[in-house]
Parts: sequence; C-alpha cells; structure tokens
Amino acid sequence: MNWLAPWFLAGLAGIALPIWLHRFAKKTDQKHVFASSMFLEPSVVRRNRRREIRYWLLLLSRVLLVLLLGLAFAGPQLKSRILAGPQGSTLHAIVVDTSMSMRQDGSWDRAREAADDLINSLKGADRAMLVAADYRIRVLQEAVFSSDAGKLHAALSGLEPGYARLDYGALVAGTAGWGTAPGEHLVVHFITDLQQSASPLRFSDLAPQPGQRFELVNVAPQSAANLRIASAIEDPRDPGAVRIGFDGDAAALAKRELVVEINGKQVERRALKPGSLVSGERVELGNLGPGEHRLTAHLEPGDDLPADDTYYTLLRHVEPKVLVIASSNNGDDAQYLRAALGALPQPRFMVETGAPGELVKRQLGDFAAIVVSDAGLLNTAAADALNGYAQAGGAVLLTLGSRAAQMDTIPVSGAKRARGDAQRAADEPSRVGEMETSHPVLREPGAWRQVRFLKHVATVPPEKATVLMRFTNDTPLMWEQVLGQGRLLVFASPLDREWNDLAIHPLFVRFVAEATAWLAGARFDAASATVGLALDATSLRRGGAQLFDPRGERTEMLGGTDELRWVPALPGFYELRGGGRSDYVAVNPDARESRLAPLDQEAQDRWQALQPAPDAVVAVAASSSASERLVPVWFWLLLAAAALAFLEPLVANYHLNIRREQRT
Amino acid sequence: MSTTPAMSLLRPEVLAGLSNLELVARSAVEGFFQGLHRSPRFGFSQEFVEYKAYTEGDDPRFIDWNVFARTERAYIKRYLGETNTRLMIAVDVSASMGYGIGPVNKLRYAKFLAASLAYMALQQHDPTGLIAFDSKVRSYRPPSSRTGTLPAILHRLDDLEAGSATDLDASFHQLREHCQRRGLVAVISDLYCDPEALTRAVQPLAWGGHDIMIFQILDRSEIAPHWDESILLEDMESGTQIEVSPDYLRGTYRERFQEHLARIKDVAARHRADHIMLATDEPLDRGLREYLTFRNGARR
Repeated sequence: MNWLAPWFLAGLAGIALPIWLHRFAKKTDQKHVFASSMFLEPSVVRRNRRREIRYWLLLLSRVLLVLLLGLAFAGPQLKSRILAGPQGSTLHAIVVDTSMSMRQDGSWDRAREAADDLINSLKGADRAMLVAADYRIRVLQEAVFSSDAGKLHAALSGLEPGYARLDYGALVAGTAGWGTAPGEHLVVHFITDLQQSASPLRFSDLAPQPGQRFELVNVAPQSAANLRIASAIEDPRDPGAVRIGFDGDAAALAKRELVVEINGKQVERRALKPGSLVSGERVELGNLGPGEHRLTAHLEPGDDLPADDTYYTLLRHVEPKVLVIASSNNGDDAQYLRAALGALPQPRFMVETGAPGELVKRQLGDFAAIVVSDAGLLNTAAADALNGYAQAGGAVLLTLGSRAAQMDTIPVSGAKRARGDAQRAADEPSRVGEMETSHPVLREPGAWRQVRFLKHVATVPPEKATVLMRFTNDTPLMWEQVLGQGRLLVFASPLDREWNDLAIHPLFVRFVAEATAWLAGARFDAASATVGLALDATSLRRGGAQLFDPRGERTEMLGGTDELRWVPALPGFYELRGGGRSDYVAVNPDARESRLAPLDQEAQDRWQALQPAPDAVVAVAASSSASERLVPVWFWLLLAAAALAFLEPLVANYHLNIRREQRT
Repeated sequence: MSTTPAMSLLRPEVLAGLSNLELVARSAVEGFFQGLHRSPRFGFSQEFVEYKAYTEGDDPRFIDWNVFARTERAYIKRYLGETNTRLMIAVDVSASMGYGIGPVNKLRYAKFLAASLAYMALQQHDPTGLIAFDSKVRSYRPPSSRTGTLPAILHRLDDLEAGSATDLDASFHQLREHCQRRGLVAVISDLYCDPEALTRAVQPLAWGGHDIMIFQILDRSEIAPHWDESILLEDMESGTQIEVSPDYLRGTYRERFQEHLARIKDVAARHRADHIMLATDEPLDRGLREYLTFRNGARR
C-alpha cells in the first residue's frame, strides 16, 4: 500500500479523543434517588452489559470516523494485482459496421443476428463491449460481464446503420485505446460487409494492436451490384441545363427512372437507358432565375442500397460582386485585376472599380470581396471603412505598391514596414522561396518560382498573421490575417508590371480569381460536402446561425454558432438559418460506400495473416498481468466516513434519549 | 367520574398552588362536601343514637324528662352530631416521604391530607391531635377541639420536613403514651417498613380500643417504576446506591412491592384497621371519603 500524504496519519492520534470522552462520560453518570431500596436488588452485570454494548457502538462509530478521515487524507493507494487464469479472461469487443453500405438489403439483419449470437456465446469471466463504427467509433456499451449481457442486447436493439463511411484502418487504430484489465486480452469481433473500398491506403494499417486479435464476421450479401447518381453538374457552357452522372452497375439502369426536383418540385422524370452510365443524362431546367436552387435527383425504383439513389446539389445562380479599389480605373493594376476576376467561369464575379473614396460612399456589405491595388491609397477614413467591413465578415485582398512602401504601418493589416537589411533587400530582385502549397490559393509552387520580383515592400506582419509565401531572403510576400469575422490577404507587391512580372504569367489570372474566391467563400462547393466529413461553412455565412439537418431538426455545431463547422451525419440539404435568411448545404454520402465489392479472398487472408495467434495474444495478456496498478481508495474511505458521520448522531441521540427518560 | 370544577380543587397539583395549609384544607374539605351535596357540619345532625345515664357534670338541658317521668331515672338523649371522636393524625416524616417526581411529593401530599382531616374533624368538634415521626417522634400536639387547634396543627404541619429513617416501634411506643384515651388514629406513611414492625406498632393501639386508619402514600414511580436503561438508584434514607436493571424494575420489583402491599393489608385487616393506598397524583377526595365512612362506621 502506498500513501500520498503519509503525514496525515498523525491525525489518527485523534482516536484518543472519543475514547477519553467516553471514559469521562462514564464517570459522570448520573444517579437517581429513590424512596427506598427495600425492594431493590443489585443487577450490576446486566446493567453493564447492556449499557456498555450500546456505548461501545457509539465509541466504535466515533473511533472509526476519526480513523477513516485520517486514512482518507493520507491518500492510501492499494496495489491491484489481478492474475490471469489458465487461459486468461477475454474482453470481447463486438464492433458493428454502421457505415452506409450496411444498409444494403439484408446486411444489417445479418449483422444484428451475428452480434446477438456473439453476445449469447459469452461465458464465465469474459467481458464484452459493443461498439458502432462508421466515421466515428462509438462505444455503445462499456465492457460488462457475461451476466450483464442484457445491456448489450439493449444497446444493440437501438442501433441502426448510418450514411457515413468506415475506414478499416481508422478502426484498427481506434482500438488502441480500449483498455483491458491486467491479464485480459482483447478480441475484436468485427461484423462488417468487408467492403474493399473501406480498406486503408496502407495495408499495414490493418495490423492489430499488440495483445489484440481481429475476428472478421462477414455479413456481405452475395451481390455487389449497385448504381448511384454520382453527380449533377451545371455546365456553364450549357446554361439552363444540368448533367446527371451515374456510377456503378450498368445493368441496374434498366427499368429505372430518373426523377429531378428543383426546390422540392419535380421538373423531370425519364426512363434511363444503358448508355446513360457513360454519357450521363442532360436535363433541361430552363431559366431558374437568380438565387440558389436545391436540386434533388433520384432513381426510382430504389435498389438494394437505396441510400445512394438520391443526389443533392445546389445550383448557385449568384454573381457575387467584387469592388476593385485602384488609383485610376484605367491604370494597369485596375485593368489587370478586372480582367483576372472576370476570367473566372465559376464563380462568376461582377467586378466594379472605384477610387479609395468609394469605400466611404458605398455600402460595402454588398460586396463579396474588395481588392485594393495599393494599400497606400487608403486614407484614414477609407481604411476605417475597409477595416469595419472586414471586421463584420468581409474579405479583403490588399496588395502593397509604391505608396504603401512610404508608410510605416500598413492600413487595415497593421503590419509594420521592415527596416535595415530587409528594407534594403526589398529594392533588389527576388524570387519566391518558401510557400504553403497546402493553401487553396497557392497550388503551383513551380510556376510561382518563375515569377520575378524586382521590388517589393518589406514588412513585418502582425504576430497572428499566417505567412503563406516568402521571398528567398525570407521576407514575407503574402500572408493571411483574420480580422474579426472577416479575412484579409496581403500581397507585398503590386499586381502591375512595374515591380514584378506576375501579370504576364498564366498563374496570375488563376491566382487573383482563386484568392478572391477563397476570400469571398465562393469556392465553397456545397455539392462536395460528404456525410461524415467535417464541413466548414464559415465562408458561407458571416455571423451566427442555427443549423438544421435534412429532417428539420436542429443540430449542434462543433465550435458554437460563430464557427460554422460540423460533421453532417445525414445526406440531404442542411439549412443554416439566421439573420433573416437561409443558406443551404448539400450533403451526399461518400461515393466509396456505394462500391459494394468486398475484399477479395486474398486480401482477407492477408489481413488474417496479420492477426497474432490466439496463444500469442494470451501470452501478451499474461505478461501484462504481472503489472500492478495503484488504485486510490480515499474516495471510498471518505464515503464510509460520511456514512458514519450520518449514523453517529443517530446512535448518540439514542443514548441521549435514555438520559431524558431518566430525568422525567 | 367526570371532574367537576369543585372536585378539580381536590387535585394535589391544584392544591399545591394554594398559599397555606388552611386554605388547602378548607378547599379540599368544602370541595369534597360540595361534591357529596351534604353539609360539612354533620356532627350537629338530629339523628338519635342512644340514651346515657345522667352523671354529674352532664348538661341538664339534655335530660329526657319523658323518660324520667316514666322511670324516675334521669337519662340524657344523645344524637349523632354529639358523638365526638378523638382523632390523632400520625404523619411519617422519614426521608423516604420526601420522594416524588411530580409537583407534589409524598410528604406534601401527606400534609394536605392531614390538614384536610384535621379541618374536617375540627368542624365537627372532634378533638384532633398531630404527631410527626420518623425514627422517633418529631412533633406532637395533643388532641383538642378548642379554638386555635386547627391553626396550631396546620402550623406544625407546615414546619414538617423529611427527616431520617423510619422506626415504627420507637415512634409508636411514644404515640401510645400520648393516646391513652380511645379514639381514631390516622397513620399517614409510605410504610417502607417491615410488616411485622407495623404489626408491633399498631397492635397495642388496636388492643387499646383505638380505631386505626392507615393511609399509605406512594408515588407512581414507586408503584410501577419505568426506566429503559439500567439505573443507579440511591436510597433516600440509607444512602445506599444500587444499580438495577429495567428488567428487574419491571418484574421482580413489582412482584415484591405487591407482596409487601398484601402483607400491609393483611396486617391492617388483622387489626380491623382501614388501609387506604393513595398515589400522590390522586385527588384527596378518596382519602376524605374513606375517613368519613370509617369514622361513622367506627362510632356505630
């Protein structure tokens, strides 16, 4: 036994107090006068026996109270040593695949049946836990002994497959945290349809953790044929029409119809042909008008896996406005920017150009993004207006030109102009050095490194800025800042041809358009949202909103209402409601869940080959049995002390009652 | 029996609130008679009792001249109210009489009873005396019916305090010396004594022609003691401390006590004495009624 604070054991000397009190109490025992002892007879033995038994009880409770308090504060820790039996006990983790593919006709029934059989086969000291696995691993029932199998059955009865994807590698990695008792080994009974598409990229990720063994329970159906709607794309070259793409078994196209709905209203129903799988189906929608339209395409009748027969997408006929602030409408910078923004087919920006004074005059909230060709153009009023726009959730792209080079502090950004060597290096030719290629705006590092910069504005970005690109001399070229609810990109060189040749590179148009789109959130592609994958809709909305799932039930977001991030669990249209308007996000099941082809036998064999032999598992478990755990028991001691503290007054009161009787 | 306002005055706890013994006695006795619907001056009734030969010193006004005319002998006609009884009240003032857990202890109750008896007796001009004793006679006033007797008796009663142990032999020996003429002796005591000693005490009195009433005053806790816990009891007279169990108090003690009572009653019966056991929470009327009944019966 260990003690966390052994000096508290000195408090056990307090036991002397109740003992002394009881001794004192016996001495002060009251006499009672009586008229005559003529008929009395001493009965000392009986009296002592009865009284002392009762007082001993009181004394015992008081001594125990002090003892328990002293011990509890001393923090005892018991060494727990559980030895394994001859075979060792087993923790059975019954893992049920609840990914969308398990919705295929019959799979789920077989899975539940298999799980029930496993639960019923539990015996002896074995424990079992029930786990559901799809994009997350949920422990539905903590480990219980076989005598509590009813809890496992109850947890299983309420389980249904979802719409998300399961990755076997993630599952195997997730089992690492499943604690077993010393001497206990873990057997994972994995009830699944063994989808090939659920395999991890690296096969070795399927290797179980030490001391664990995976036993596969295959509940896959005989047929893996399936057909799904893979896409619904509005071709910008073919306005007013949408092309529906299919994926899967061509034979399944026969005798099925495609039904297309816009905003819940059916606009098309047609029978499918075998050739549709290759060419897709072009559906004429007509002029839908400006705004956002919810398109639902589904196949009728449903097949064995109806969950992927419906496809959801949003048709955005919105042309966000971008305001370009330049010194002159006819200047190079303004023209280049206007051309670049206008060249982007999707999203299609409406570009307006204006002088810095427009920032004060215009309603900036109307613009999805504001591009400033040279931050040095901004006077205080314009900078304040632009800052307010950004703080409220606006998107700003600032480039730093010759005028910004004259300033000590860059407006809106707050970046300081660099001094010393960095300032001197800014007037020398330079090229792009390090860059964050993972950023959606910076995808072509090779092309960027070909851009020549004759001059730039050497700055020191604010601490919280994320530098995305640096010159070879380590001076920041581009950084991103979060301003309130908005976002700011600063490019430390102008977008004209005086300081660099970026404008003549093919990279230029894509960079300007993608940077602006990124800032404006227009890159947010609702159609790509997938069940089970975290979705960040921050760019879609500014400010808080409530989220409702496709069933119309309110859903909690991951970071509260200010950060519009969540993991959609259902396919359909999620609705972000707030600020007097609704924004929709189309969510579809992961396409890989629709590929029902199972792991081939060879892959299954290789997976099984990764499993340790049962004896090896037991040996690992047995070796772990030698370890000892320190179990703190102070809580139980305090609990017992609390119980005694409750009982002690009752016992004491009992004795006091006797005293009162004597007096009356 | 329902307790009328008058009867409630007889309750010891009510009497305990009165300022002096005379008031106590008057309240008790008059309340008692009010309950009986009868005059307390029963000694002056016109109920004929007997003829007595005229002797010198008798009042010639009471000579029955009709009888004299027929027999030429002088007889005096006597009535009930004219038959006087000498009453000697013997109050035990031993230490045990100081016991009591209610508002009235045994000695106080004995004082109430003695005062009421004295009041009642003196109302009918019965010569009344008082003797207080424990191991010996502590106070004595010879029987008298003269004016001022009652206050004197009450004053002596007031002064009585619980003393030492009881010694009936010694005390009653002295009592007999003071009670040469026949009369009624009312012994008020808790009778924590050997019944044989009681026999030795009352037997000479009974043989001497005295009518004896024994009022045994007890506290309820003596009759049926009740403690849930073993208890250390100290004898008020001897100071002896005895630890007794509740089982004993509930069982053997009560058996022994009842046995003692039975023997006391037996002693009383053998000497034609009247034994009345009174608890200190009991109204006084039962004691007074017993006295009245016994007195009338004794005269006949």
